[in-house]
Amino acid sequence: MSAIFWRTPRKVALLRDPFDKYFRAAAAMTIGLALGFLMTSASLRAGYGFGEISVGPWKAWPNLGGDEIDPYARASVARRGIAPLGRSEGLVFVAQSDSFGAPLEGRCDYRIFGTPPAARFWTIGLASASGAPLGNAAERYGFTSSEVVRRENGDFEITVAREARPWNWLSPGDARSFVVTLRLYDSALDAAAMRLDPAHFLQIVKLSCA
Amino acid sequence: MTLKDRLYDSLPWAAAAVLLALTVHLVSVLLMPVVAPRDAFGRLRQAEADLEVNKNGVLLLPQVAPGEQLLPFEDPATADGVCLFDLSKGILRVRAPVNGDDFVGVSLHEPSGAVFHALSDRAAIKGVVEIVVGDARQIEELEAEDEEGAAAPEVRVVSPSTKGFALIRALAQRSSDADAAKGLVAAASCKMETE
Repeated sequence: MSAIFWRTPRKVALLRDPFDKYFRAAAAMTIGLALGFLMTSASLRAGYGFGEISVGPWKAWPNLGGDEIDPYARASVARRGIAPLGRSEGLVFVAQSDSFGAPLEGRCDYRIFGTPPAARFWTIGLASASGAPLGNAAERYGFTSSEVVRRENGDFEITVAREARPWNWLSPGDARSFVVTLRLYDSALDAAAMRLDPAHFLQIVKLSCA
Repeated sequence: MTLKDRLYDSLPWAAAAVLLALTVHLVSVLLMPVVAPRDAFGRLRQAEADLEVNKNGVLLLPQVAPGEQLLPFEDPATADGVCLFDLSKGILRVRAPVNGDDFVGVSLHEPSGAVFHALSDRAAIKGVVEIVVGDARQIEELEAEDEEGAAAPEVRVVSPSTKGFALIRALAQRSSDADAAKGLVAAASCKMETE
């Protein structure tokens, strides 16, 4: 069956031959265009260009807030419609997964704890993957460093769960997935950021799933 | 025609496809800041038509809440004010008062959203962050007017684009401070100064 299928009848081959080059040119152009746009879409989706810092699940792009911004970051910023924080204002970290690499899910409970890097102020919040705040019954979208309830030694933990929890609680509402944003305002973090130790950064640990 | 011949025959076409893909990719990435339909400037210009610019020339953005967000990934804890500028109409002077305790940041953006300059309240002089934005010629003229040896009373920034926007953010440390942060942003001013 397959042998018959693959053998081009002589008549058809003769008919097609003069156009063969056009077919190939059209195919090459279509594939080239599609591949080019796919590459653009994938590279802009992946993040904000070069110079990414990653600490455990957290990612930041320090070049985003300055003159050294690269074309990929610029395109990504324009595509998403964001107005990033200037480098001298602060630095934003985003986590799309927990500390073990599993994507963050709305049906699961998480605990965020540890020590955030030195900054004058920080805020931690939940958002959708596209950066929108998540509607929840508590109408709380984040904690600032001033309002989070801490232990005696200054440490804190935030529980992420749909249902109310004691102490610091954030709810993803009905969202199926979400990201956690950590914004450092007036942060002393700079080149040293490249050597941040995930063990001494904020951890995101899954507690249970509904 | 053997399979090997066929392969050699289509090799130039495959190379052409790859070359075209790379070109399309690079051109689309470079053009994206110009053609992106929903970039920060586009979103804010639309907001300027819908919302009201206050008497100081600042467009106060609504508090970030689900379904009520102009710019993605903005901090719900900050109050935001925006000034759209067009340097063909003159230079822009931004003055943002600070109180020393709370974070206030002023960032200058190209229409694509990319930052070209930013200052936090740590750069404030006498309780005010003051920035003058102009194109290279406007800033040069401003500097020529300066008296010899006198320090400029404000930060002067050359904008890489004629249009753009300034974003003023004030952080509310607690939700009860939200109104104070809003007040701080509302007290900021943006003025277009014609030469």
